[in-house]
Amino acid sequence: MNRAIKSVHLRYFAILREQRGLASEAVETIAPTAKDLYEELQNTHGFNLNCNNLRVAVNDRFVNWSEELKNNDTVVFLPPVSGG
Amino acid sequence: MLFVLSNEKFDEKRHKADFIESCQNRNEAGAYSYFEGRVRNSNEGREVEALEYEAYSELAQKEGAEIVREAIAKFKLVSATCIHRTGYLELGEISVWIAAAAPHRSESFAACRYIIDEIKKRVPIWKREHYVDSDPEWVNCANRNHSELSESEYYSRQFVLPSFGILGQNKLKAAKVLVIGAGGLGSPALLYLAGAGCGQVDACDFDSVELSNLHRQIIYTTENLEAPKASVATARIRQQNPFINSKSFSLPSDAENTKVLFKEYDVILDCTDNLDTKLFVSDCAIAAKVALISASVRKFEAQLHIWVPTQENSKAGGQCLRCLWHEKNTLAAQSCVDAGILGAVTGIIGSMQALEAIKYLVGISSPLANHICLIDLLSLQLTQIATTHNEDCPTCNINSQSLAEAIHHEQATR
Repeated sequence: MNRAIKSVHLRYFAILREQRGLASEAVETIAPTAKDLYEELQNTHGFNLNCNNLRVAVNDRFVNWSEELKNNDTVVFLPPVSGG
Repeated sequence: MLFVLSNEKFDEKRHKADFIESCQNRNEAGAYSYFEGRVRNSNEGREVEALEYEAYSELAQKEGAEIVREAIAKFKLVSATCIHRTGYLELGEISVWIAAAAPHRSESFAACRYIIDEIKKRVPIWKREHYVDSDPEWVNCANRNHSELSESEYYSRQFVLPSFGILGQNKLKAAKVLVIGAGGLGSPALLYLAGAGCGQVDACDFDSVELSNLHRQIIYTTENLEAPKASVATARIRQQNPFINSKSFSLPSDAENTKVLFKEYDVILDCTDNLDTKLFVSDCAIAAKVALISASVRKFEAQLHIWVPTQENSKAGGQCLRCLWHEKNTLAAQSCVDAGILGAVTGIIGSMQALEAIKYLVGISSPLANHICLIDLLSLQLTQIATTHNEDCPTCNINSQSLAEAIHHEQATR
């Protein structure tokens, strides 16, 4: 597990953008995986959606929640989609 | 182009002409199908007046193009394209447009269907509906696990209490409570505040879960060992009650910032285990003029103290924790580590703190306001003693000075 401090770029869409009050931010985290990072953010910001309701993309690519994060990754948590 | 995101009003004629032109010289195409999605005036019984679409465009273009490519391969199409709107759309406007050309009609129809169904499932585009009679909402973003649960059923045993009812429930839903210390007292307090439906229940604690905590700190399990208490506790109460919000953070170390933080809440529960912190929390709560419910336990005994902001209190002459105790008393105050504690004792007292908070928020008056309650759980005796104003208390008496100065004064005179 990579518990080193890394800097990640976050982008928020739809309800998460509203709940965070920001469209993007850079954060420093020791979270080893995407799931750990979301849970950390959920605790800080009180997001009402849990991981199992979301999907995650790293560097514009859908990934599994167990994806290990690297320094300078761009991470996006995607609420349930409703296009069409 | 296989898939296009566009924030411009849709031009049907132009897009159709473009598509047909792209299929020219492909005379094997005998069937052209088109699908249009338009903005409808209602959804699930609610009257809709407009829509907004937001897209994560980098990934939406990639995923949308992939879907159209899949359809072309799957249905052996001659050509296909999809245009999806973003931005603000009025009723009747086209939100998504799909064209598919194939040798035969069954494939072109099926391709349109496949593309729209996959788009709704996979492409990162979100729809926000604007309603005639309520605030806009993001479609599908209610917590799916819980969207089928009924909030009124959750609270149904509470509603029927004569002093409670729907009015009381709504007062709780609007309330914000901060629990400082997520240990023996904080565990039951957090669980019962969440269960009762306080709209926002936040927790501060800088400790991690230890094995010696578990006999009394019932919000944690052995799975949480070494995890940070506050974040485990808030995750646990969000599961306890999906209709509330809860977040965790560290308490600021200085009085000014703590005061600013406290002003966001309706009630502060002091569930900490040392007198220094209790006095600090009390000073800040009084400066912020926010109700404080403070408890401490020692062996089988406990003290419960409530401070509520009243007109009387906001002038000089409050009856705060510092009117009773002083930093000098710290040495005499033994912690659980030294004195020993039973889980049932902190369980009862933490539950009493939650109950007093609920009573205060709902507006059920308590005989405890401006009293200290001494609870002896060995003899089961409960004694209420009226607290009186202490003329020497720096917190209550120095209204003209800032809080920082008051604390400075207190430290200087120690």
